[in-house]
Amino acid sequence: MDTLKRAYTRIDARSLGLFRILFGIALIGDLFARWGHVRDFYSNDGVLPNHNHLFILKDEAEVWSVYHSFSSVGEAHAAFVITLFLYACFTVGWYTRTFQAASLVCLIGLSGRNVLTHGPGDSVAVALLAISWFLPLGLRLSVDALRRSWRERDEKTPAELNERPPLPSPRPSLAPLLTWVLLGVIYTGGALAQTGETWRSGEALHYALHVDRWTSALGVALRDVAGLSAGLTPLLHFAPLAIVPLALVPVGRRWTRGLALTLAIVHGLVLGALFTFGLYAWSLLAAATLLIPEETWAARYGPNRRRPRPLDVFYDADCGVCLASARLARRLDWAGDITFAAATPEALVTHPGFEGDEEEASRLVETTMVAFAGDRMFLYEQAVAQVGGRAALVGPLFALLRLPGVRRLARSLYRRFATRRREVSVALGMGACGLPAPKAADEGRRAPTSEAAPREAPADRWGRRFGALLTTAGAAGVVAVALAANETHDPDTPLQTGLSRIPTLVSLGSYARILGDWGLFAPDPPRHNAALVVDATTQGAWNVDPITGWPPDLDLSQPARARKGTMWLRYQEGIGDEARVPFRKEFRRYLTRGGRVLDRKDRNQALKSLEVYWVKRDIPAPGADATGEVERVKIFSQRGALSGGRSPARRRAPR
Amino acid sequence: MRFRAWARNAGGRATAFARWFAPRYLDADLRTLGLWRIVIGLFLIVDTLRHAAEIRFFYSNEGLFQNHWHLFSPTAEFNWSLLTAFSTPTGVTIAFAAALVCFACFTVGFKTRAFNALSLVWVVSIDQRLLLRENGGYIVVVLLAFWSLFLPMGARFSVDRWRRRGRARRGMSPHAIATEPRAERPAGAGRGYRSLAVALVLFNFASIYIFNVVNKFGTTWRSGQTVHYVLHLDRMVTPLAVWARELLPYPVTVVITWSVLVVEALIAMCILWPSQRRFLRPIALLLLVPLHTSFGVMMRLGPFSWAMIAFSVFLVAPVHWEMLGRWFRRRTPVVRLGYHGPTGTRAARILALLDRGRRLTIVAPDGSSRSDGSGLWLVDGARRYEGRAAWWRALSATPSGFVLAPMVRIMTLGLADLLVAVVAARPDAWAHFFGWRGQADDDAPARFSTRPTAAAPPTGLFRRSATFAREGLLVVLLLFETSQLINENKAFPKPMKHTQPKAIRAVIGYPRLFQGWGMFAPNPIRKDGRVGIDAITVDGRHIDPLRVIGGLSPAPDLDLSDDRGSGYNQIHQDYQNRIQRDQNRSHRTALQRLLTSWHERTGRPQDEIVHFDVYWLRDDNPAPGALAPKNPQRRCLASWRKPGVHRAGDRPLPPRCKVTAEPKKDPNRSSSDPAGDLPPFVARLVRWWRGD
Repeated sequence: MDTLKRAYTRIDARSLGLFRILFGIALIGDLFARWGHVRDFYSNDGVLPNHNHLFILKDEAEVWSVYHSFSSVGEAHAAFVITLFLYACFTVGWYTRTFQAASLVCLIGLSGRNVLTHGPGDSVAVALLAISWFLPLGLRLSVDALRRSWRERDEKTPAELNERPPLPSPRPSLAPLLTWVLLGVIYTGGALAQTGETWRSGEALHYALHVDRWTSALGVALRDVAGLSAGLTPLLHFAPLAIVPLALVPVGRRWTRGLALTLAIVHGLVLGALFTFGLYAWSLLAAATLLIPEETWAARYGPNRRRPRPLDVFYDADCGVCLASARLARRLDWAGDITFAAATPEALVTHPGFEGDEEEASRLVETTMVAFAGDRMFLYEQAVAQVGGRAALVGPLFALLRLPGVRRLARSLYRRFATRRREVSVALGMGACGLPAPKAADEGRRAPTSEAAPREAPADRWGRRFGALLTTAGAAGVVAVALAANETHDPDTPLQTGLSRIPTLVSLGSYARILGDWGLFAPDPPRHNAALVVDATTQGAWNVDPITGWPPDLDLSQPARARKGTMWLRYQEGIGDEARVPFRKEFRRYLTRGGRVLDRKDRNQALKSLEVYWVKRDIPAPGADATGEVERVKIFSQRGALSGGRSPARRRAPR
Repeated sequence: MRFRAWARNAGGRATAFARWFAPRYLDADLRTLGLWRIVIGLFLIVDTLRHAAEIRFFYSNEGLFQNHWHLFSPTAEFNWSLLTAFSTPTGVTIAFAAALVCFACFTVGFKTRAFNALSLVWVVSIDQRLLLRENGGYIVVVLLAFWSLFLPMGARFSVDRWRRRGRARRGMSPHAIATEPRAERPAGAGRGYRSLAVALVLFNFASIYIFNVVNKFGTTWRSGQTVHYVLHLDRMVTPLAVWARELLPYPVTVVITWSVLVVEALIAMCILWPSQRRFLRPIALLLLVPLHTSFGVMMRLGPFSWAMIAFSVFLVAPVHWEMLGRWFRRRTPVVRLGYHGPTGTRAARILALLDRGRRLTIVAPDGSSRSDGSGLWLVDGARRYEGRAAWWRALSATPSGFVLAPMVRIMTLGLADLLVAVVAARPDAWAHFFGWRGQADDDAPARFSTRPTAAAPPTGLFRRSATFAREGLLVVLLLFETSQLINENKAFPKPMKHTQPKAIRAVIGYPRLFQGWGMFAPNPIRKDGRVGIDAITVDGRHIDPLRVIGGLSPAPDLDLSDDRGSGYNQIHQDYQNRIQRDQNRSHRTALQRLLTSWHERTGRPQDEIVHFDVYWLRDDNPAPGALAPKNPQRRCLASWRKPGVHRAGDRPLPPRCKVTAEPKKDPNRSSSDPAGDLPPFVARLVRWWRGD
């Protein structure tokens, strides 16, 4: 029973923390990718002004975005700065739950600002961010955890620093199990939708990689490598089906989870490296860290691991910054390798690794922190490198301090600090040498061990149960929305639950932009390469595509010109759809204002005419050389005098 | 040498001036700021509830101002509102609920700074979503939320403060808390706060009165006719004002008009006068509270009057708190409070933390004087209280409890009393349920919160840098607001008006930090008006949907002559006043759409409108001494008939009215020239000053 409980009701707090950091980085990366298109997709100078979007949506009205409030390019930039702040706070784990909720609102808003730019990555990321709100992501590896630990244990002496109290662990609930279920819906739902012939014949990746608009530069470079498609297509198809079942095996978790983790990483890396689907691959890669079981962490940082030489650190106990650094180092030293001691000449000379006399010890105590790894003594920045090297996860970064140039610079900085460390401490309000330090309001609060209740009070017990119930209900709600969305998107899916018949769930999915579109290349990847190409002529007789700045690639002969980024990838697919005709009016206006690259203030760059095509070309079968015929479907055209919108484009052409 | 001496002299004078200026205009009492926060927060909650009542027809896409239209045709240069992201009434209701949560957290002082910032965002958003009904009161509300952002609003009377104090004394017994010597309070943890923000608040508050006086240089004000005209503005007045205008003789209104100017001038003087604040500020409060209350109950001005009263709480000086403290101590005798058991200890700790007036002598439990089992006992003179009576009596002996206890008992309709009775009846059971343990250690040393509160002088480098950055930002804001004050107020001469860079306009315009103060200035409005709709339903009834939305009877009323107040609230009446203007013609489309789909709103097919005429009805206010308005006029704003329909019920439809433009202003402007009655030379001077 305990095994089952541990397997299904808990995820290690360190895995959760790592997930939060990686997911936050993915979100920030995605935000920067969108930021590059802020004018085109998030301002009224772009392809879809906010008022037009709201007007078009008024009948559907199940889309909501906070970014609809921002009109000008400047306002959109301000909104993105705020979003970056929120994402960064979530990533570092400062007020984690609050900023996670705010990040979720932002992510939904970024996706909902223009329904044509929504992609599968958005659905996956929103679903994962939503369900992980019910998991304690800030319990470890976060500013919250650090602040909590800082508050609860105010170490003053080396002896207190060397104590190792137990760390908090997540309270059991069914939210972890529901997270596996959600990952199962995403992975399995996507894989089960891949029912086409090319998936069976192993050609799916070949066709997918030949669609220039979504293939990365690496994908273009590798797509003709013999055997690549045949080798990776089954992996992309079957790995998602295996990941969650392996994760749910309650025994031998270090190995089953390890295999699941490997599959998830390979699957994510292949998709992330070969394609440009935005958050899709990176969200799933971040989620893979949730598969790291407690046993794996214990093997790396637990008492039974192969231990490096323990480190004895002598630091200046009178210096506020030094004490704070020691406290931080203790918290990052998960393995418990470091033993702290106050730096006094008497203590130093008694250490077996020290070979000098008392005078030398006095000099060292005044000028540097001293670290001993076995009988080797480290001073200055090398002592810092040793202490930092024991830090969990970030330890290897401290190896940089051993590089020749860096070492010299670091030693110089260290010496400057060491001679002024007490002044710095006072300036930073940390106190030094008996000077009063401004203490925290809760200083003197007893350590929880001394105040801990011997038994759990009924109120706490009921509160915990109620909390677990709410958490489980919330996570179940997210899973239900995801299942309903999956069913709505793919009515023939084997994951039939009937939840799509509940309008509230479908509406919630629509508002939250969880649209169930996680089946990549399903049921088959397209057999033709296609892209949106604008053939425009300026008054200066310049034949140009105003989106790329290059001559129009009407033959799809230049893959780099078809690849316009994730936002354009989704938008050009949407705008070509006959059901989206109302969106074309503003796209036309955007193009007549010069699109992405033309400067309308320059008379020579003013547009004389333009034609917008959806250009298609058949992809040759694997091994075949012949390229198919080019088919051009005209979406719209504009000739003669063009009436622009209110604001001209301000960017200049790249050439 | 001479320059050095001059520089030394100037420096000395500057220092002397700073020493004189700072305690008078830069210092604020933290208790005042705490009270100010509570008043502002409560005001924001009530004002938001007022707007929430209009969600459907003014803030959602089912009403008169759709978000897409608002974004397409913004009504200001820097128009931004979070509410534009919400389309449906449900969505807007959720947004308003979020705003109310922020205001409530700000009111109680929970994460005060963060919720202050969020409150500002919501205040601006609610204002900017519907600028057609904005007036000076809305600007005052924004200024309240904005300036408070730079002040330590949560330093007193707040959950934040309570939590900080409780944490700092964790583990201490009630007795130890009650007897901790105040002399050991760390230096700097005083009750004052010094910042340029304090001066900005004071000057901004005073400037509202100053410019409300100096901008009122028109003929009507000088001749004392303003109150008469204002009381006859039917679109703005309440029934009380109608009663007053019919009761008061004209000479009395003249006296009131001049009194208003004198009172406003006196208020400004009392706010800014550098000495005798102990007397002058209460005088200012005594003048402004009745003044604004009379405005508030007689005119439909929206938040203006109540926001000004909320603003005035800032005038409470430290000396007044000390007077209040002395009064409280005189009134409340010292009582002995005993406790035992875990629940009693908890309660006594809370009481000890609340006992800022030192009216409780908390007796450490020694086993000799146990109560009846309720956990607390109290001795007041010869009388001994036990059970729930002891709980309430002890609470009333603390300053916070003295104010809050009766309010809580009334607001909870006695449920709080019941709760205390239940707790007092079985304290051990509650202690077991919550896991409370026995008495805390009486010998625990008194530990004081020494975290540098907002009041404390900054200690760390970061804190000093933050203070420096904040004051620098305030200097910049001072410059921007001064520029705005000069540009917006007619009292400044034309040569001083200037063109602001876009950055300044954006900083002022996005949060609506405007500084134009001149209610009914230079002259009051002499023309009254409102929108009237004559809509005919498919079954032949005549209705006015705007009256239905405004909560009035549905029958159209196109005659102003018998109006005794239009009955519309401020949002409706200001919307009607703005929508009739040609510059807002584009916004009439939504009104027409609302009328043509009226039956969808009501859900009754028989309410379908087949014909409507929308009029702006106006007349001239009665001349001084008269009661009947003159010169009634009617201007068609919109007209529509359902295609193919010629009859409604059994009657033919009337012809559509012809939409006409707003009449141009009289080029001679003889009647509205504020300097018209002055001697020619003075009139020329005034006109030059105004740039006419």
